[in-house]
Amino acid sequence: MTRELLINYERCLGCRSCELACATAHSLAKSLFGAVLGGEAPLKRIFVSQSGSRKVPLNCRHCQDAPCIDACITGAMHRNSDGIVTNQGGEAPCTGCWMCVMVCPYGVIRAETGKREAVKCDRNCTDHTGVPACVKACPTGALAFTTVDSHSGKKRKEFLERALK
Amino acid sequence: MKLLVVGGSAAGMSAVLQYHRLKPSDRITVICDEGSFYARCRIPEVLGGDVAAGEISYPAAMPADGRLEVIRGRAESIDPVNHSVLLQDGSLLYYDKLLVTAGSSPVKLGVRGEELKGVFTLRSLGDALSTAEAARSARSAVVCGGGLVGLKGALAMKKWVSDVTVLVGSPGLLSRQLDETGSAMLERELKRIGIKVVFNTLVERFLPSGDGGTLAGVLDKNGGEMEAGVAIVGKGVRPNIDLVSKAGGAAGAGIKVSNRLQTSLPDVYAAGDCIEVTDLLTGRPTPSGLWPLAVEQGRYAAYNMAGALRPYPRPITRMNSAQFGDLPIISAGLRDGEEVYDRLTGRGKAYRRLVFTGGRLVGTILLGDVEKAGIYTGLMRSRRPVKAALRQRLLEGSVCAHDIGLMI
Ligand SMILES: Cc1cc2nc3c(=O)[nH]c(=O)nc-3n(C[C@H](O)[C@H](O)[C@H](O)COP(=O)(O)OP(=O)(O)OC[C@H]3O[C@@H](n4cnc5c(N)ncnc54)[C@H](O)[C@@H]3O)c2cc1C
Repeated sequence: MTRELLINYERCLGCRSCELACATAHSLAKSLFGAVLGGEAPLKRIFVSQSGSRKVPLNCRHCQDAPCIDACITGAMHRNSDGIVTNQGGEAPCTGCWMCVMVCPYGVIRAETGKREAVKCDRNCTDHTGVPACVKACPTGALAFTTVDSHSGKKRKEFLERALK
Repeated sequence: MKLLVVGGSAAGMSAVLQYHRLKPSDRITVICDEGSFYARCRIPEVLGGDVAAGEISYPAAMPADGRLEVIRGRAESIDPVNHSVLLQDGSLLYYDKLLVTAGSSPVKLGVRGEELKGVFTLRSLGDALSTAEAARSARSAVVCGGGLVGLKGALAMKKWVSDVTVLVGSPGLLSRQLDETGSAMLERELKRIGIKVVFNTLVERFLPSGDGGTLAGVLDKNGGEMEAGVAIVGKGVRPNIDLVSKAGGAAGAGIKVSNRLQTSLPDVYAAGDCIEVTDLLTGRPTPSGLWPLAVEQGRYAAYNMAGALRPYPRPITRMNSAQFGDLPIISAGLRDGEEVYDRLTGRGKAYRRLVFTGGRLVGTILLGDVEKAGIYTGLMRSRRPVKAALRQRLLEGSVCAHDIGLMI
């Protein structure tokens, strides 16, 4: 069974450890200090927002019928053999047209307008046990990487259908 | 079962890949009059010399198992009774199911001199290559039309030609996508890049050089004359309906299809730029006209042709994103409605304009900062009423998916 990243909103305190860990894991230096010293501006792919009284951490859901893949005009956005939706390492380059940004109902694909490249969760951050950096960094258990029961999978599909249809 | 597909671009290829997945043992034949499969939206990069023609192929991986055959040729007519398609070279192909994805063709200005060497439209890879060829030796270039394709063409030609002018018939740029403020921001960016824009100007005719057959200049309706060694006409596109309409199939502006992408001809389906769809926001039939819709429709057509019932939901037909220079732009839905809110933030660098009708978000323009645009379009699709607090967050750009009802 494949594992998925689940979010337990009640537990999120908004400490942004996940954002930091994500950005660091995606930096060339692989450490926050090294990245900053090296003049890199590490880019996070998970975002903690405030919604009402809640803190909401959110990253790519790697949707089944992913709208970003349909929308990609170059063919860069694809699902790799691990089931991960990414615009890196595919058949075509990302040219920063922002079609994916325009259609992602979760709003978790970033437009790096300077680099002309869309930036998103690519799970290129996992440790030897396969756990993503954001999950490992979360001190409260708001982010969990587990096998998904059919219930939450169904709920998510319902949301997507409502948002997309 | 034998599936025949006319056209091998966004709609055709997505249909072929999906159909092959569903029915791996069925035979599929694609007829296309273009020699290669490529990402059409990327031809401005070829025009600008940023990439070679071979670098924009799409999709690179086609199923190569003998079930799929690609024929380079042009479909002339359909015989719906005999279930056959006549090709230009006289050969006849039979089908059990036919999918027409003939795309659309550029609209001509219909003025004198449009046939001169040096006047182009920008629709195919071939167009991009010949325009680049002409632009390389031109001292000045003119683009007729301030729409998306015209502006992309102008930016690409700027790589070769120092003097590029865009003639716009309307008083604003991207008049289908932007309002006055948005157009002014874009105009500023184009100026910074060195592209001139002239508004409220229509082309009277293209002027020939001494030899009579080559473009030398443009005369506008106000009597102004300007030099031009190369010109692009960007006046929009028209769906290619002929193949289906001449066979007796129903068509309006585009080929008419059911929500299963079926034309009025038996066993003939159609998808992509050649069809018209019912717009989710206006409820009116509109040419489909967008790459993501073509891909989506190709997939839905494949499911329906394979026998699975998959009604195609009404799409939003106005939805575009682009970046000109340093300015990213996303525009979706309607430009006007009952209530309009707009806001400039980030020291005038980011602009958001929202249109509401009946309490629902029906139009979004984002310039300068396009982050989270998908939340706006998602909200437009969901047709949820939007309360004041959420409107505020949408305007500020502080909205997150949770605000539009996401709980996972
Ligand atoms: C410069 C440019 C930029 C664009 N940018 C964007 C963008 O940013 N976002 C967006 O959403 N859309 C964009 N578009 C529009 C997008 O390219 C189209 O919506 C999309 O290509 C439609 O795909 P399609 O498969 O329906 O038709 P097409 O791509 O037009 O393909 C139809 C194919 O069928 C062939 N054909 C037609 N008739 C026949 C026949 N009788 N026999 C054999 N072959 C035939 C044609 O030659 C063509 O190869 C852009 C278009 C251009 C030109």
